[in-house]
Amino acid sequence: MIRVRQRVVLSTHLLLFLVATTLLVASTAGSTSAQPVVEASIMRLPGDWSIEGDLPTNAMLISLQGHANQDAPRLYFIYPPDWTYTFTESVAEYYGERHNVRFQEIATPEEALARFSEHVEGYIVWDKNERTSLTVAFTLAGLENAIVVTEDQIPLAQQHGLQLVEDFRDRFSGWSDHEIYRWAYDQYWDRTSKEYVIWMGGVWNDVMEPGIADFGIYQQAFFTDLSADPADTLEYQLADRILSEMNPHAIVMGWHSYRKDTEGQHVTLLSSHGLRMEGLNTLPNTSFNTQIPTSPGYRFTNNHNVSPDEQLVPEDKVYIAPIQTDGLGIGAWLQPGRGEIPYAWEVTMNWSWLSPALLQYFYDMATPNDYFIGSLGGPGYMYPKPVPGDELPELVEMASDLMDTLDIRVFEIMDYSEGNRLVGNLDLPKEIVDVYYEGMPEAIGFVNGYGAARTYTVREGVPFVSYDYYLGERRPAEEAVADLEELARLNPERPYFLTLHVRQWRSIERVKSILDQLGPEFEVVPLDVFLKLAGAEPTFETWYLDQ
Amino acid sequence: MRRLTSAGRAALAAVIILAVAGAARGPLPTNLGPPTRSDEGADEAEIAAEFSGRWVLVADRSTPVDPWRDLDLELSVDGSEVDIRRIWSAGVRNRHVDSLRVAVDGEPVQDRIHHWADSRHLGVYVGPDSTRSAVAQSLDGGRTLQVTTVQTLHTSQGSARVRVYSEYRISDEGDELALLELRSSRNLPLHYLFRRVENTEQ
Repeated sequence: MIRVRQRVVLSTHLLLFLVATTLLVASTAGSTSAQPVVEASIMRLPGDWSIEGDLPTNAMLISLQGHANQDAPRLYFIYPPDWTYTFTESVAEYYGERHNVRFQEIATPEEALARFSEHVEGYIVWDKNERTSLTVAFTLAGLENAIVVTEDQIPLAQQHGLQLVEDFRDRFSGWSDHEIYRWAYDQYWDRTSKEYVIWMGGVWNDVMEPGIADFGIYQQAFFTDLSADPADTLEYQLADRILSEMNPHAIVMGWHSYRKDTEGQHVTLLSSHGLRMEGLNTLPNTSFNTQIPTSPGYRFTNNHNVSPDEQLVPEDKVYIAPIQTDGLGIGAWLQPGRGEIPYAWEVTMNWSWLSPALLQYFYDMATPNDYFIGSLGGPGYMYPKPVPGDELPELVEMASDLMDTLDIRVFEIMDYSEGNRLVGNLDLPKEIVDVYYEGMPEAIGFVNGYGAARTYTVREGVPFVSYDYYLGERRPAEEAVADLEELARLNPERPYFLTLHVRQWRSIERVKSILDQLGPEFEVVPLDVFLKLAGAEPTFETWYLDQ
Repeated sequence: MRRLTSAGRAALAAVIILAVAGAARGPLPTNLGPPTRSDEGADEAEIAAEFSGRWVLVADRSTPVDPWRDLDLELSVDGSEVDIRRIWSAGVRNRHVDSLRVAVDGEPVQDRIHHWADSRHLGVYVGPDSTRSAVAQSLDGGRTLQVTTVQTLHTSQGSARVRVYSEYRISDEGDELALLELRSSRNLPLHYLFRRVENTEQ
C-alpha cells in the first residue's frame, strides 16, 4: 500500500487546481484571441523509415518543412503513433485550442510541394545505395535552399520548377563514412552554422529517422553522425575537430549513432568542448515549434508542494520519490496513470526558448502531482566531469537562469563519462558538486545519476542525493518489489530516502502497481517534499567520487 | 586469496542455518562474520568433474539479470578446488568477470572484490572493505556444490554485511546446471538455469 503523505495537501491542491482550471479556461479564451492567428498546414507522415520504404518521401517532406517554415510557422507534421516523441497529434490540437493555430490538412507529397515549392529553389539527389549521402544532402539542402530527393522523385521536383543543385548518385560509392564526412567538411563547413550542428544518428542500417532535419536545414547546420569512440580514430578526430570549431556553448542536436558509439562517448566528447546536447534525432517539428511563442503574459509555474523556507519533519519511514528518465516528450506523459501519484519530470530546459509553446503544453497539462525539475547536467545535456573546469561555473549559471524562467528548484545531473549503469561510476568529485551549490543558490536539492549512483551530501539543509534505484521497463513487478525491499533492508536507518529513477517507457499505472505492493513503512512523496525531508534529517553518508 | 584461520569458524554454524532457511524479513543480522560449513549432509567426495566447462544462461527459465543481458559461468574443477567465474555482459562494451576460487574441504577463504555486479539496479557497491569470505562444500556425491560468501557492501547509509548462499546443481545428464542463490538481504531467491557450451575446439 502506498501512503501518500500529501493527502491533506493534495486536497488543498485539488481545490486550487479546480480554481486554477477555471481561471485557465477563462484566460485561455482571452489569451488565444490575443495571439495572432497562425495559418498552417498539417500532414501525417507514413511510418516506414527504411530506405526502400517511406524514408525518401519523409526525408523530402522534412527538408521541405525546413524551408517552408523559414520565416513563419507554416508546415507541421503528425508523426506515426510509434514515433519516439508521442505528442505531435496532441500538440497540434493544443496549438489550435490555446495558440490560435489554424491547421489545414495536406494529404500528399505532391500537395505539399505544390503549396510550398515557392520557398525552395532546387533539389539534391541522394543515393539510396549510400545512406550517408542523405546526411550530406541535408547539409547542402540548408545551404542551397533545396529539398532532398531520390532519383525516383526527380520528376516530381522538376514538375514544381526546382533546379538540380547536386547529384550524389555514385559520388560516394566505396567511400568510408570518414571520407564522406571529410569531403563534406571541406566543401561546406565554412558556410554552416557554428551555433548548431546536427548528429543524424540513432537507428542505422537501412533506416533513418531524421525528425530533427527540418531544424538543421532551418539553421543551415552541418549534418553528420561521426563516431565519438576513440577507437574509431579517423572519425573521432574529425568529430573532435568539428566540435572544437563550434561557438562557445553551442548546441549539438540529434543523437549519436547506435551503430558507432555510445551515448556516454558522444556526450563526453561534446562536453569536453563545453558544448551541450539537445536530443534526439527524432525531435519533430522544431522549425515550426520554435516560432510559436507562449501565450501573452504567460509565466511558467511549477507545482511546488513545499515553500523553500518551510521546515518538514520526517517520520521513521522509507520515503520514495519517483522521477521519469530521459526528459519530456518521450515516455509516460500521455500514458495512463499520470497524476495518480507524485511524479517528477526532467525538463529539457532549452525548450523554454527553442520551443516555448511546446514547453507550455506540458506545464498547462500538468496535474498537481506532476513536478518539474531541471536537467541535465547544465543548460542542456552535458557531463560536468569532462567540461573544462573554467567553463563549468558559467554553464551552471546558464542552467540556473533557465531554472528561474521555468520556476524550477531542483536540478538533475548525469555523468556517463566514466561508466554507465553496469560498469564504472556515475559519481562526482567534491569540487564539481561545489560548483552546482555555488551556481544554483536557490536550489532546494540536487539529484545525480541515471542508474544508481553514490554521491551524497547535504549543505545547510539542501541535499545532494543520487538515484538509489533504477526501474527498467522490463523489470518484472515481483523482482522490482523485492529490489525495493532489499534496499530498505540494506539501509536500515529511518528515515531512509530512496530516489527512484523510472525508465520512461514504463507507464505510471505500472509503477503505481509496484509501489502499491510495498508495506506501510514505504511512502511515496513529491520530490520537493522528499528533498526537504532529506535535508532536515539526512541519514545518508556524505560520499564523493574522490574520497 | 588467503585461507582464514579456524578461529572464527566454529561459532558461525548458525549463519549457514539461517541462509538455508532463506532470507527472513526484518532487519539484517548485524553479527555476520565469515561463513562456515555445516558438516551435516556434507560429502567429502570431490566435486563432480562435469561441473568443469562453460555454461550459458537460459534466460527464459531464470531470474532476470537485467540490466545485464547475459550471464555465463566458467567452472574449473581441480580435485577438491573449484574456480567459479561469473561473466556478466551487455553487448561488447560492458563486461564484468567475478572470480572465486574455493576448496570444498570446508576451509574458508578470503579474497577481494572490486565491483558488485549482481543487481545493478540497486545503489549497492563495494565499499572500503572489499574483503569477501567464502566457504564451500560438496554434497550429493559431488553433484551439488554449496558456496556461502559473506561480504561488506556499501549503500547510501554506510556498510552492510551480506551473506549469499549458493547451490550449484548439475543435471544427471551433465548438460544443465541449476544455480539457486539466497541473499540475506533479499526476500526472493534468485534462480538460474545454465546450459553447457560444448567445446568445439579439438
